Parts: sequence; C-alpha cells; structure tokens
Amino acid sequence: MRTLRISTLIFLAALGSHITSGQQLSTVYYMNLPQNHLFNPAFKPSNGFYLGLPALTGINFNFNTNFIGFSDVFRYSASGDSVISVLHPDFDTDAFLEKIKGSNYIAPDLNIHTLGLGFRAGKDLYIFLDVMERVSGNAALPGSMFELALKGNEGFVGSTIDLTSLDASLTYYREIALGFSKDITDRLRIGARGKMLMGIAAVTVDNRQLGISVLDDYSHRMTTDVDINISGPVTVYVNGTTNNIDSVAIDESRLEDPGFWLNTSNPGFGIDLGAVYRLTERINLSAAINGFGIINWKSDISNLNASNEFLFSGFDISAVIDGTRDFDDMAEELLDSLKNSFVISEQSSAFRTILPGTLTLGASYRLTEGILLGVVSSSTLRDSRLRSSLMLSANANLGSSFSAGLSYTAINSSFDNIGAGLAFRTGPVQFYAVADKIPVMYNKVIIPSGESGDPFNLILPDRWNTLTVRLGMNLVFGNKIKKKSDRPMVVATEEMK
Amino acid sequence: MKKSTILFIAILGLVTFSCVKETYDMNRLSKKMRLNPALAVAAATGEVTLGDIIKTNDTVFFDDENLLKLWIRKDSVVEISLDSLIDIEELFSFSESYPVGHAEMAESSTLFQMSLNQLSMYFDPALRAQLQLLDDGSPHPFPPLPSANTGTHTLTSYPNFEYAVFASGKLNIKFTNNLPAQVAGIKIELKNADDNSPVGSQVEIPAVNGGDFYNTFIDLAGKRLYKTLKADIIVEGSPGTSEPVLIRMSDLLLFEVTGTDLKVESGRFIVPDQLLSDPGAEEFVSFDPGDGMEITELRLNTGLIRYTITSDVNVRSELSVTLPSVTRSGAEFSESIVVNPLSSATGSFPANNMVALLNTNPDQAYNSLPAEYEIRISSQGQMIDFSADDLFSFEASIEDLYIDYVKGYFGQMTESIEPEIIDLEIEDIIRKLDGEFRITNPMLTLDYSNSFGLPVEIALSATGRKNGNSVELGLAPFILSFPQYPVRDITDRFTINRENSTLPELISMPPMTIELTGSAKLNPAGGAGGQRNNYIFGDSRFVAGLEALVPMDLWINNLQLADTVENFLKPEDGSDGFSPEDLEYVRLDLMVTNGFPLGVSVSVILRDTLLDDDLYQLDIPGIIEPAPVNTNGRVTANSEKTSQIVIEKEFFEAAREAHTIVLKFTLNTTGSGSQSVKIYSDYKISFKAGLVVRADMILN
Repeated sequence: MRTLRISTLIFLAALGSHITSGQQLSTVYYMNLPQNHLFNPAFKPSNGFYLGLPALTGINFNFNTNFIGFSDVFRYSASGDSVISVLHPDFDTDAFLEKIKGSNYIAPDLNIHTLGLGFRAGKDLYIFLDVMERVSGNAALPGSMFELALKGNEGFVGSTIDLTSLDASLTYYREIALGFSKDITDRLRIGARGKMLMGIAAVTVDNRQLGISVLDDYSHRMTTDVDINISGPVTVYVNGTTNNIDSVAIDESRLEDPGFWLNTSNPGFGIDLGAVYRLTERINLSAAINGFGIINWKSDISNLNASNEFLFSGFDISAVIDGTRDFDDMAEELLDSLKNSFVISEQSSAFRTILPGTLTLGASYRLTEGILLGVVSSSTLRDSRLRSSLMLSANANLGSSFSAGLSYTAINSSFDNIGAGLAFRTGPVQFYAVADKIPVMYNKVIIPSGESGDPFNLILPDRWNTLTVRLGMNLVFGNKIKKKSDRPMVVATEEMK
Repeated sequence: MKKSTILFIAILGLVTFSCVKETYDMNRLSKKMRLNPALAVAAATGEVTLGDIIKTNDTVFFDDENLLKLWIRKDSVVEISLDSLIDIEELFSFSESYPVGHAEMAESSTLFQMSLNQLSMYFDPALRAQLQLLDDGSPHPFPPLPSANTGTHTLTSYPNFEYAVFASGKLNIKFTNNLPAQVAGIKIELKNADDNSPVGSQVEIPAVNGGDFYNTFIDLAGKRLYKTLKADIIVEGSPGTSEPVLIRMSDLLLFEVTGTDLKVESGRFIVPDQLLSDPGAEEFVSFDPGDGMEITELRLNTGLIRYTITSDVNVRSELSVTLPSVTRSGAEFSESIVVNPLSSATGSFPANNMVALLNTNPDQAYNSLPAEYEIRISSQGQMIDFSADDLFSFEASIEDLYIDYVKGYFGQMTESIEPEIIDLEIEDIIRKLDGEFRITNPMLTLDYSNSFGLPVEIALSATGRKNGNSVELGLAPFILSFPQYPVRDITDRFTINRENSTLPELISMPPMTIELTGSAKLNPAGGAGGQRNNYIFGDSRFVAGLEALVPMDLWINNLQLADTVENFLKPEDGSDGFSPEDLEYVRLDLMVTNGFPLGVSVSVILRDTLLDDDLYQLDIPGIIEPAPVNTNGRVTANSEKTSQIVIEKEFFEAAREAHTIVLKFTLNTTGSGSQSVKIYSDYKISFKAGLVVRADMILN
C-alpha cells in the first residue's frame, strides 16, 4: 500500500511535470471509474454508491493546441555552436511557416468536479448528481498573422489575409447535472443527464469576418464583422463621439461578492445522452452525445459589435494638388475615417453560448474478464471546426480495486499520443489519475538562471498538441461489479430458430 | 496486485524514461535576429484635371473650346494727351518787334526876306543912292542891278523841330520877286545854323520876273536839318526895266523855305498825329510752329489772347488790329490798343469761339494770318526825340486754350521711345533650363483709342537676348488708325503675332533681357500734295492698353530643368537618422494614366561636392508618357504607364554622404517637338502609387 501510494505520487509528479494536451479525456472511457458516466451517461458505475468530495473528486485539465513545438522555434545552428531562434537570419523561415496551420488554436479547459454523487436505485437504475465548475477557453491565431509578421504583406497582394479564425473566448459556468441510466433491454442501456447551467462569466468572440484584403494596387480593405459578448463585472467605456473604446474597467469589488459566484441570472441547460449496446457477450457498442448545452447570458452584459469595412487606397492627393487641402488635413481625415470605420456599437443584449457537443462512438471487446480492448471516436464541433480523435485503448479492470488503461490516440493531426490511466482503491477511497498524452519525445532546455548562476533544466515535450489530465478521488461503496454475463438474456429455442 | 504493480511500473517507465530528443543550452542562444518583411501599401492616389490644378482667374482662363490661355491685360499702358505731344499754346505765341519807321513831320516854313534897300547895301553906293532917289513914288525905269553876294542870312527857326535827319522829304524854296524888275537869278546855299553844315547843294534860281515867284526844292533824304538855317544868297542882279516902274526900296525879295513831305529818320521834333501805316494796310503775320508744321485752321472754344506791346518810341501810339480771317463768335476780330510813350501796354482779349484761318495767304497757304492794322502816333505837341529804329515790341500768346481743333500738317515729328532694357529676372531659371520649347501662337495686342486725326507710324523694335544669342522681333512699322474728320475718335487694335513677327521665337528663347526701342513718326508719308488734313482736337488723346494672349499651344523637346538643392535626406548632425542597413530596398510602383500631351523623365543625382563626384544616380525614364494627339494637337487617348522605381540600400548610403541633390526633370510633348500640342481643361491625369518597403533589420 505504501509503495502504491508512493508510486502514485511519483506517477502524478511525473505526470505533472509533463505537459500534455488532449481534447477529451478518452482513456477514462473504459476504466472502471464513476467518472466515466460523464462521457456516456449510459455507463453504469460498478459502485452502488459513490461520492465525490468537493474539488477532490476530480480536477480535469484539458489543453488542446495544434500549435508548433519548441523545436520548431529553436534549433541548433548549422555549425552546431549556438542555438538560434526562428528570427535568426540562418533559420529557415519558410520551413517554420509551413508548420504553422491555417488556424492555430489553444483551447484550455478546466473542470472542477465540486460534487459527485451517484447511487443505484432499483435493479438497473442508476442516478447521479454532479456539480461541476467549468472554465473553458479558446484562443486562435490565424496562421497568416505569422506570415504577415515575418514576411510582411507583399506576399498577400491579390489575396486576403484571413483573420476570421482569430478568436479569444472564455466561459465560466457551473453545471448541475442530474442523470440516470437504465437498462431498456438486456442488451441496451440508455442514459441521460439533464444539466442546469449557471453562467458565471463569459467573454465570447463571434468572429464572422475579419480580414485584410491586399489588392493588386496595394490598397488594403479591412473588413470586420465581430461581436464580443461579455457577461461579467466589466464596464467598457465607449467614446460617444468617436465610438471607439476609451477604456475597459473590471469591478474587482464584485469578485469579492459571493453573489457574483452564485450568480443564477445566466441560466442554461444541457443534456447528455448515451447508450450502450451489448452486441455480443464480448462486444459492446456505445454512443453518446454529451457536453451539449446552451447558456443564456443576461446579467452584466456588454455587447460590442464591430461591423465595418475600411478601404485604404492611399492618400488621395487630388485635393492637395488642387489646393483645397493639405497633407495635414488628409492625415487627419484618414485617421478620422479609420476611427469611424471601426465603430464600436455597444449595447446590453443577452447573448447565448452554445456549448459544443461531443459525439462519442465506441466499441469494446472484452478479451478476458479483466482486459478490455476498445476503440473510441470522439468528435466535437467547436467554432465551426470539427475536432476529432480516435483512440485505441487497452484497459485492465481488476475488480473494483484497480483499473488501468493504456491508450493510443490520434488527435489534432498528431499521431503520437499515448495515454494512460490508473485508478486504485484503498478501502472506500478511490484514487485515480489519467493522462491522455504522454509525450514520447522530449527536449531538455538548459535555462540560465541569471544572477544565481546555476542553470536549471526544463524538460519540455517535443510536441505538445494535447494535454488532458484528470485526477481525483472518490468515496465508493457497494462495489459489486456485475459480471458482464455472457449468458444470453433470451435462450433461443429450437422453436425460435 | 502484482499485475497492477507491473503495469504501473511499465507505465511509469514509459512516462519517465521517454526519449530526450534534443538538449537546448540556452546559454548558447544567439541573440541575433533578422527581420526581413516586405510591406506593401498604397501610398497615394489621385486624379486631377487641368481644371483642378489651374483655377481660372484674371490671368489664366479657358476659352470657349476649353483651350488654356494666359491673358494679361494692362489698360492705359500708353496714354498720350495733346499736351504731351504738342504745346498748342506754344504754337500760337507771337513775339515780334517792329521799328516804328519813319515819322512824318508837319510842314513847316521859315521865311527870309530882303528888301531892295537891304539888297542895295551890297551895291555900289552910287547905285544905292540912285535907287534911293528913284524911290519917289513915281515910276522910273528900273536900273540894272549887278550881282551881289548878300552873305549869310539866318532864317527864322522852324518851330516844330530841333533837328532831324530826314528819310525823305523836300525843302521847298520859294523865291518871290516883289521887285518891279526881273531878278536875273538867285543862288542860295542853305546851311544849318548849328554847325554850318550845308543843307544840300547850292540851289540856283533862274531869272524871276518882277512880281513872280519860283519854286525849287532841296531833297532832304538823308540830310540832317536843324531848326535854324542860314542861307548864303547871291542875287544875280537884275537887267532892270525899260518901262518905268515904281521903285520902292521896301520891295522885298522873299525867300520861303518850307519842308514838305517830311519823313524823319530821327531827330527831335513834334510828331504830329499821323498814321504810321497806310490806312487799311494789310500784311500777313506768319507763325512758325516749328517742326515743319503747317497750320491752316484753328478753332478755339475758349481762350485768352494775352498781349504786351512795348513802345520804345516816345510817342503815344494807338494800334488797331483787325484779323480778317479770324472771327470770334462770328464777328471779325478787331482790337485797338493804346500805348503811352516809352511804356508797355498789357492786356488780353477773349478768344472764345474763335476761328482763325491761316491759309488765306496766296503765297503761303498755312501759318499765315492776314492782319490789317493801323498805328497812329503823336507826340501830342511835345518835342520828342524820335528814331525810326525805335521799336514797337509785340508779344501775344494764347492761354487757357481749349481748342476745338487745329487743322493742318503737323510735320514728320519723330518721337523716339526711350530705349529700355527689361530684365525679366529669370536668369536663375534659365541657368537651370536646357532644351527647346516653343509657344507657337502668342499674341500681343495693342488696343487703342485714338483721337489724333493724323497718321502715326509706330516702329517697334524688341530684341531678346540670352547667353550671347539674340532674337529680333522683326515687326515692320505699322500705322495706327486715326479718325477722319468729322469723326473725332476711333478705336482699333493692332496685333503682333506669328504672322507679322517672330514673337513666338522671341518668347520661346526665353530671353533674359528684352531691349525695347522704337519711335513714333507723324505723317510718315510726309505732306504730299500739300494735303494739310491733320486734325488735332482739344481732347485728342491716344490711349492704348496692352493685351498679351498666350494660348497653350506649344511643343517641348527635351526641356530639362535641373536644380541643385541641399541634401535634405541627410540626417542632421548628432542624429543617426535613418539607417540604410535596415532596408533592402524601397520600391515605388507607379501607375499613371495620363491624358496630357506631356511626358516627364526624372533623374536624381546624389553628389559629393567636395570630391566633385556623383555618388548615386537614380534614373526614372518616362515616368509619365505623353498622350497621343491628333493633327490639331488635341489629345485623342490616354497613355498608360506603370513604372517600378527601386531605391536600393546604396541610395540611402549615398544619401548620408552626399552634400547636394541634383534633380533633373526632362519634359517632352507628344512627338518630342515634331508637332504642337494644345492644353485643354478637360485633360486629366490619374495615378496610383504603391510603396513596397523591404526591411532588412539585423538585431543583436
């Protein structure tokens, strides 16, 4: 036991020292953890009752990115005697830019399971209650911005620098979910979770259009159609004359008000649906739609809209030539035009956040009683982009005391994602830790420490596309794992044949 | 548990002991960075028509066909009034002196008588006694008398003169023989008593019978006579009579000396009231206005004839003048003036509505005024000194003249236009200019109003000079239009253009200086045929405005304007300024759609004046191409040109060292001077300028 605890801690520490990224935690899917109902509400925990203590029951951090890695930005010079950055004259900028995607996103999520409760009711009904604090963020940088910064805009003559993928959103809401799962037939089990969502704060960017067209005559047309919706103790001061933002102020006193954190003025709802079908004794099919929800933000609303088009075709010096204007007038006119072209309209209208749902499809094959092989496909439509992953897993569920899983996931155009999860139980306390990407390749970075003189080493994954970490503990009771019987529910008689 | 442990360890090993791909020692991080973006931006755009650039005003305008023209007008450039041309008053001033001439002296007699008794004193006493005896009251034959020189006898003085030198006249001598017998003859020799100077020669009187008389005379012309004469008388005797006659010793021989028809040259005498001139005498008074003028008629609206008559003659003079060919308000001009002795008489006559004909002299049908005059003089009974050479001085002038007109021939006065050298002060510009251009149809127009009724020929010479070259205007003399009486005023214009001069060539030099000279000549054809039909009116004036009209009808062939300026690109002292190392190049992409028939090339030269070296030359040939034109010089289509002007790093490096920048602009019209082009208001040029800056910043 002591060894196990130490090992667990070491594992967690080791795990914590690595940054991995992941879109969705999938290794948990086939592990014997009560948390797997969060992926498919039709999953029935093996525990008759479980309780997740506030914050302890689970902290889930997801980090997804399709951005570049450390070695894309730094490398050794050709002579090998120095480290050069991407801005170094000898760095192959074109090769660097080829690695930049059209849209480069960073999407962190933090979910804190503040309360988890589940219990078996009746023969096959399982009811669970979950309260979660969910913070979801997303920032996306168009790849053209990097090309613009490094190479300038000459390469865009005749085309458009599309910045529509520029995004920055942050949503914090509380989810109170009540769900159940139940056998419909002896093969089919369904589950559903209704979620009451309470929005706490949000900043969402609806970037319908943002781009700079560089015409053949080097004229620049900037088109914006961007909405920024804010719900929170933020006041945006817009100049009534120029309709530009003067300042943004955060009322920090509101943050100290408990009422802010218990805000119920931004209601929403969500639903998760799932089903598990036992195809054969060994093969199970599962499907789930979860994560979908809608939040209506109604309080502390600030809506900023910028719908503009600004065309700069150079200074029209016709007026200067004919003497009706001078250059100072023109510069001032351009500035005014620029300001007027980016008019921020502000209002306070409720807005809606649609939480992207995830479609999860899985199939498992029970190799042995304790070994399960599975494949899971997960697809999330987020900001009009479909993010998919495919996981192959091997899980070992040894009764109710130990569960481990190994997975291989292809995600974010990255094909070197290995995940692992471990859960074990001591008495009623169950500990678990799961990570979906365990970096295979690392870079060691020796960082000079400045005045102290001693450098320190930083181990960074060579590729960091996905990081999903979940860890926590549950109190579990009544762990009777129902053997997945291979007895048919219905014995086919000769007559039936 | 063993299985879980093994699995756990396997996982841990997998996690912990994954490969370290690379080790990056950030102590060896190179801080060298290179930023090499290329920024393209539309810098400027514009579209202007000529009408936008050039605002019409008094000088620049577009005509009905929208052709651009320069127009400069100056009114009253030349203003000549009658006063500045001719001093009319001076024309008719008169100043003459006339000697008074010979004055008449009244007839005056002096008497001398000699009785027989006195005569017999010069005889033998016996004869005398005989004669005395015969004077008994009874007739006796008169005895013959011998010749007797009676000696010198003083005659009674003339009462009306002291002395005189006579211009003409006679001294009549009348001998009356009151003796009863013939006197055989008398010889008289008169002498001035004052100086015993003879008066003429001895006069011989032939025999005069008793009771008869004899007249003879002495011509006094040129002779001086004093008032008292002496006479040397020789009586030639008498033959006596055979018949008895009464012999009286008191019988007289009378000698009466009378001056008649006396005209005095000089002397002291009483000038009787007399007319110096013949009554109704007429003579022509001539004026000489000078300069060959021949005035035939003068009409005055108003005026004042001022006169001064000065008399050096010690007599009271009364002058009466009548000018038959002069009328005032229809009446013949006639005036009388009294001048006291040795004094002046000053006065004036009005000359309103006066018409004077100066062409009535058959010998000189101009400048001649007939005058009828009478001069009456008198010493008023006073003995005065007189000389025929004493003068009457006449001065007359016409003042406050407002003439209606003067007609005649005003000669061929030539007034020269003061030579003038006009410095156009464009030397600085010309020094920077090279190449050719030609304004093909400039015009100089003289708009004038002329109320001088006589032909005037203007000869205008203008020479443009530049750098040793010169171009003459080549304008032939021209005659200004003038009114033909009764027309009094005429307006007309004279244009100098390419048809009658080399004005285009002169203007297009362009000259640094223009030498102007010329002349104005009246009656260039002279007074042929005696036609004296020049008219000058009282309000005659010549007013002319000058109008220069330059249509933008021109050609330009490689006209190069070069200017050297201080290097404004050079950073100021103490500042690094713009670092050329940060730039790879700057490129200006210029797209020009040109509707003007004018093309431009540009060169920029960065120059080190100390080393006298050109550090960098940037040539931009044909940055603007001229638009095509038709045969009338009007643009028919636009020209399109896209230029890429690359300014490399070396340019900026040179700009840091250069002292001066030489800017050269080369202009060409369509065809480079092979044809003229015209500039219209609807010509348009549009351009788009894009700027591409490729930075090349190396940061450490």
